[in-house]
Order: sequence, then structure tokens, then C-alpha cells
Amino acid sequence: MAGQISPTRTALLASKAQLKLATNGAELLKRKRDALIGEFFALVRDALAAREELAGVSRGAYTSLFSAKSWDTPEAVESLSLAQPGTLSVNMQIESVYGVKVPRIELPESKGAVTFSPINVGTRTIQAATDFQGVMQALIKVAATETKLRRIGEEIKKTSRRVNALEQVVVPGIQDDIRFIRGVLDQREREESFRLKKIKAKLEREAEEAAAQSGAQGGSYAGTAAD
Amino acid sequence: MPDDYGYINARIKVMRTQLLDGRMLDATLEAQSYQEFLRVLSESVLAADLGDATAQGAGLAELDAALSRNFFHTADKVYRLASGTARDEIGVLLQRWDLVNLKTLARGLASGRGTEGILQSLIPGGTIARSALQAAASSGDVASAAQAITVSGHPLAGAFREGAAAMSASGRLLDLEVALDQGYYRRALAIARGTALRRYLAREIDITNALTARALRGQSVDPSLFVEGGNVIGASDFTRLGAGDTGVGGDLSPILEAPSLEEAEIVARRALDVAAHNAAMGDALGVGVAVDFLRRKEIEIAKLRLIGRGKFYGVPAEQLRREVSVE
Repeated sequence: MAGQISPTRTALLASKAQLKLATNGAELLKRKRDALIGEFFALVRDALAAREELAGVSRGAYTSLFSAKSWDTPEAVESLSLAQPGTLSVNMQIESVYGVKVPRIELPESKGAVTFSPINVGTRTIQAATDFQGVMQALIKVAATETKLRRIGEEIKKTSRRVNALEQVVVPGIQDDIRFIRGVLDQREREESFRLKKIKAKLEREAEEAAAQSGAQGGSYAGTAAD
Repeated sequence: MPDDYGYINARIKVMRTQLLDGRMLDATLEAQSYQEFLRVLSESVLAADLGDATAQGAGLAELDAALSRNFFHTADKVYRLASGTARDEIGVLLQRWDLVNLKTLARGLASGRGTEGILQSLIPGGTIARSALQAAASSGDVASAAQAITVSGHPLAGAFREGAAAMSASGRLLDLEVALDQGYYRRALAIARGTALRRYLAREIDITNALTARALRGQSVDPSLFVEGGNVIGASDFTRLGAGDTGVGGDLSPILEAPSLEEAEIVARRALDVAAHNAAMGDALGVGVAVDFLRRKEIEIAKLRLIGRGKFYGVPAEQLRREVSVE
């Protein structure tokens, strides 16, 4: 990098400005990373709670399904699952957390009303259907929290890489440039100063010589004149 | 084929001796693993129907299929023994599986499932011809499916048509299902005039109404969910039961006052067992024996499904025993 930069005072000023910008940028990114880490740990608690809720609800739902399939026949239970649409619509909005776009998924409203005739349907099957509505809601909650967590985690990783790149590569690179330019400029200054001293010495020497010469010539003229 | 119950009941009584006894159920409960459970089953009369269930890598789906196959083979065997009025009466008991199949058709078609998906969800039993079910499943919409069932001449075709019309008017699948349930009981009561089957059905209707009211307690109860034909619960009682008034339940109060839906169902199941047993005792030369036998067979298969699941998932034997012995 240092080899490609022209060692001029303008380049030095530009490099200094770059260094300031890179340092400020790294500082800002570090603050962003710290804020994201804080958000991440808060979300981890939510995600763990959502997972625990899902595990609890699922355990109950599968127990209900276990009994429902045994007493009400697997065919009748599976038939009821056909009554439900294969897809479920959720309300999803994108929100920004420290500049990170994360989805906000709202749970679909549970109407609670049965969509099938409860006549001749075992209560365990009705219980299983209700329990699985709970599983669906818990699942959506887990999906929403974990997607948010993953996005923020990725952003932390990306921000850390940027901070490292700035601190370990960009800033040292600019500092090298500045050192190089400073070195070259100092060298030039020293050379200039040495050259000026030399010139000055030469001029002085020449002046002295000229003076000495003119002194000597003055003496011989005087001698000649005296002759 | 004979149409007298003397012959039919004699054959059913022989078949009843082949039901798994307490010792065999105990042996399945005591099995240390799912494989041992299958081994015990393969030493019973169910062995012939186990098929793929005992194959390497087979799971609960194969066991469920095997047990369903056994149950529906048995039910079909009873149905084939009968002719004339007896066939109509025993047919009523099998038509509850037709009811499930018709609902499956309607649900599948209404939710846009493919023909294959619907056919796979159908029960391999009942009285509707497989070809009629296939034609209905591939018809594309509920109204066309109702026409396909009508062409087969099945007794529940009228109820299916009515349900399809109700669904088309309201856009709710629930209306079709309720129309089918109501149609089934109307037809069953019409067939079972003055027999033990009538008494059993009236009891079943009362228990069904009690369970529906118990399940929907606290919600606004749709009066169309009330099934006519019971002896204890009337239409006005049904509404009151749904509102939480358990004082009108008569001898069904234990169902209505059960602390949970599961316990309500256990009480209801026991009451139905008693009703089936009474039907057999009170009508030894009629359909009662078939009612009781099919009920016993259904419970036997349900218990085996439960034990099989328990063994597959490693549920402790004591817990399974509690669940099975609630009967």
C-alpha cells in the first residue's frame, strides 16, 4: 500500500483524514456491535423461553395425539387434519434493530371455534386439535424469535469482521502510509536542508573565493599600479 | 345367505371367543419392548393380519394398518353373514365408518387435497364400494362427489347431498359435517325401529349429546349440533347443558360433571360398553349380539393401538395399564 502511494504532503493530509475516519468508523462499529450483543442476549432469553414453551406444549399435544389415535382410530384423526387448510397466513412486518432488518411475525388470531363437527369426535381428538393449535402458535413464536436472533447474530459477526478489518488492516495500513509519507517527506526535508546547506556552503565558499580572488587581484593591481 | 339372527349370532359368538382375553392383553402390556409386543401379537389370532407390521424397520404406521385391517375384516365378516333386515341393521353399525369416509372426502375436496391424498386417508372399512369412493375423490368438488356417492345408491348419499347443498349455501364445511352426522342418526333410527339397536342408538345419541355439550361448555353452543333421538337429553336440555347447567343430564350427570374432557370420555366409553352389553343381554336373538361384539372388538383394537404406541415410545407398563384399565 505504502509503495503505491505518492509521498506528498497532500497525500499525508488525505491519509490522516482517512485514519481519523477509519478510527471513528471502528469506534462506531464497536458501539453498534456492543449494542447488538446486548440485544442478542436479551433475545437469547426470549428464544430459550419460546423453545421451552414449545417443548412443553408439544409434549402435551403429542400425548393427546397418542391417546386420540389409539381410541378414535388414526384414520379418523388424520381425516380431521384434512379439514384444516394446508397453509397458515401470518402477519409479518420488517422492523429495524440498530439498522438490522428483522422480521416481526404476529401470531394469527386463534378463533377457538371448531371447524369440524364435534358429534362423534372423541374428546381426546378435540383436545389434540386444540393442543396442536397451541403448538402452531408456539412454533411461530420460536420461528420469529430465532429468525431475529439469527439475523442479529449474523450482523454481530459481520460487524466484528468489519471492526477487525478496520483495526487490524485498514488503520495499520493508513498508519504505514502516514509513516512512509512522513519518512519520505522528512528525508526530502533533510535532503533539502542538506542541499541548501551545501549550496549555502558552496555559495559562501564561492563568495569567499571570489572575495579572496578579488582581494588578490586588488593586491596585484596595487602592485602594478605601484610599479 | 341366511338372514336369521340365530345363525348370525352363533357365528358371532364363535368369533367372540377369538377376542383377546385379559391374559393376552396382560402379556402385551408386560412386553419389554415393541418387538416383544409384536411377537406376543404374532402368537395371537391377529397374526394373519399383522403383515408388514413385523417386518424389519416397520413402525406404528404398519401396526395401525394391521390393526385396522383386522378390525375391518372382522366387521365386514359380520356384515357378510347377514342379509335382509339383519344386513340393514348391522350395516347401520358399519355406516359410522362410511360417515368418517364421507367427511374425509368432503374435507379433502374442500381443502383442495389431491385424489391420492384423499384416498390414502380413507378408512379401509364401511359399506361404500371402493370404486364409488375413488370416483368421489377424483370428482374435484364436494357437489360432484355427492353425485358420485348418489350413483352408488348408498343410504347416506341423501345426507351427503343435503350437506353439500348446506355447505354451498353457507360456505362452511361444518354445516356439511353436521348434516352428515344428523343424516346418519336419522337413517339409523329409522332402520332400528323397535329393536335393541334402537335402544343402543338412543343411548349412544344421549351420550354423544352429553359429550358435545361438555366439550363445548363455555362456548356458544350451536343448536344444530343436537342430535334428535335420545331418551334423556332434549333440545332445550342440550342448550342448558352447554351453558353449564348439569342438572338436566339425568343418569348422564357423571359425564357432564367430570372434571376434565378425558374423564368425561372415559365415563362415556364405559356407559356405551354397558349399553352394548345390555343390548346383547336383552336381545340375544337379535342385533344386540352384533352390537356388543363389534363394540368389544373396537375397544380391543383401540387398546392394542394404545399398548403398541406405549411400547414403541417406551411408556412405562404401569402408566399404560392405568390407561388401558380405565375401561
